[in-house]
Amino acid sequence: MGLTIAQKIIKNHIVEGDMTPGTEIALKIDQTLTQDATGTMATLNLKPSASTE
Amino acid sequence: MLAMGAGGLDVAVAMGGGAYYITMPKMYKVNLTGKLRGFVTAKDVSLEILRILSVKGGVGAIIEWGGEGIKTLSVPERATITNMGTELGATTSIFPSDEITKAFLEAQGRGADYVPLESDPDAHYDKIIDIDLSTLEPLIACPHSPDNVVKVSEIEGTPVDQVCIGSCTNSSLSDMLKVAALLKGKTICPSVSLSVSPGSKQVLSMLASSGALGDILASGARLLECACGPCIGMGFSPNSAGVSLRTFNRNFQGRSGTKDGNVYLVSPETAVAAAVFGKITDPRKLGEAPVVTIPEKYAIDDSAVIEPANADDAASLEVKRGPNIKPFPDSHPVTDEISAKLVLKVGDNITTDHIMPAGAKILPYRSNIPYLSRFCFGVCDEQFPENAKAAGQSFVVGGTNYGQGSSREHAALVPLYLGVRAVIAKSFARIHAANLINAGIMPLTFENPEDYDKLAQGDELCMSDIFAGMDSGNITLNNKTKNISVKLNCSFTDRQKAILKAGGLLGYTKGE
Repeated sequence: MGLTIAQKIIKNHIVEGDMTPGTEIALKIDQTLTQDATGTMATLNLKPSASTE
Repeated sequence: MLAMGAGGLDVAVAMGGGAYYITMPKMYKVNLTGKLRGFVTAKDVSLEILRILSVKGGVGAIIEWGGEGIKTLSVPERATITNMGTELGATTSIFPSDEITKAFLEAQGRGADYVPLESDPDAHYDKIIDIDLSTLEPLIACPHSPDNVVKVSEIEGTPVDQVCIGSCTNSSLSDMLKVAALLKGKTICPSVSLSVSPGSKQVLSMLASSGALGDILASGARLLECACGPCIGMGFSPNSAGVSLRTFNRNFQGRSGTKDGNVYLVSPETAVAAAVFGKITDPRKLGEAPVVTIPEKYAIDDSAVIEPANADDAASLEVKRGPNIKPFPDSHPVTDEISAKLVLKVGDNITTDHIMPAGAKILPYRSNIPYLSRFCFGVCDEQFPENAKAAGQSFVVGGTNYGQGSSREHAALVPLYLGVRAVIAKSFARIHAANLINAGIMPLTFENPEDYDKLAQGDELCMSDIFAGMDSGNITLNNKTKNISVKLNCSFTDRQKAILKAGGLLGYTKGE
């Protein structure tokens, strides 16, 4: 069966699980964006394990 | 690209190179036919799908927009539609990447980034919805929910106190140029205050250099920063019981900063009509619909973008924390035995707003967990923060549907800071249970809900053999004060057990 656009993108990023609806999957993330009010906390979380990717 | 909203901890893990965990969504498709008529906009398309599906209709699904009608929609219009997909509860929304996408990227100097994307002809969808663009009319979402949608013409004449144009949903250059064209040569109604927040530095500078900004300002509009501003109650809170028409995406009660404010969601065109006439007005009464085309070249100035430091310099960089930027709370890995006091017992349907209230008074302290902790559970028990701190480590007991409401992760981080090690409830809201686990706090349920009555605030409690209990799903809670025991249940995945034993998602990710 063919894939939807979203399924094509998920297929290219899935690192755990399979594409069965309702089950847990893990995705590799290419890009993150944060918002003014909540981004600071997210960045503080990041600091000790920063990736250079 | 699939773009999904996520809590800060999950974003931090992704920034660090870790995976992002979601539930594999179902697939919905919206087929568009026809073409929008004058003064009917992409915003009205998003309001129409909210009218059809409701704010819960997209839960667990990704919404794909397709059909011949999408060829009539520019990238900024598509962005308005997908942006508001969040209000459907959808995991995300997406359009195909086509020649219209290509032209937009080229105009942004990013032609090389273009990748065509479309679904296969035999792709399966769990639900298909058809919308004929040519039959739509200007729509409006009434207080206090984005799916409370009617035609603008149905509520014409309602006096309006305030109009706000901008936000993530409607602040593109195209939107702003339409607003400027409609306001040109006009003065807004004296009883209305109008704010305009352009979407970005690029939008604002192109508005200024084209002269359109002058038309907006001359009408009596006040220019705000390129930010969320009024949408999250930071400025421009409506007058008491006032009526505010906004091009934003949310109109939840009190979000504007005025508890009895009446916020309506509309297109920029309908917003201008209300600002000019001082009452809710069908925008088609403004005369000729403005025609705005995407510029061939956007003004590109990336001079303010700071490149990441190279690996050698990164180690010596110092994080400068002002007085309101405090470190993340210390983690506390779950141990095999935990003795703690029951410092707070609450009832059913405790929301994340009970646990960690929001609003202009508290929002500026989002990065200051110690300060925020003073407000934790304030509406339930003002003494809770002090009692929890005095106890060192503690348990909280709740009724059914504990943690309902938003995904606000501060509702887990602040209890972590205050020493909460487990929340025992009759049942949990799904996202909050996940956030508790991410913070290293165990969400546990009563095997027998009536055992809720056997625990009283102030009791000294103890759980032992927790690790074996995590595996079997049964943990025994001893009430040392009353000398009785209560059976608790849990159902953690192996990953969740590992997260709890690592003291939360951050520790788990670092350890991997």
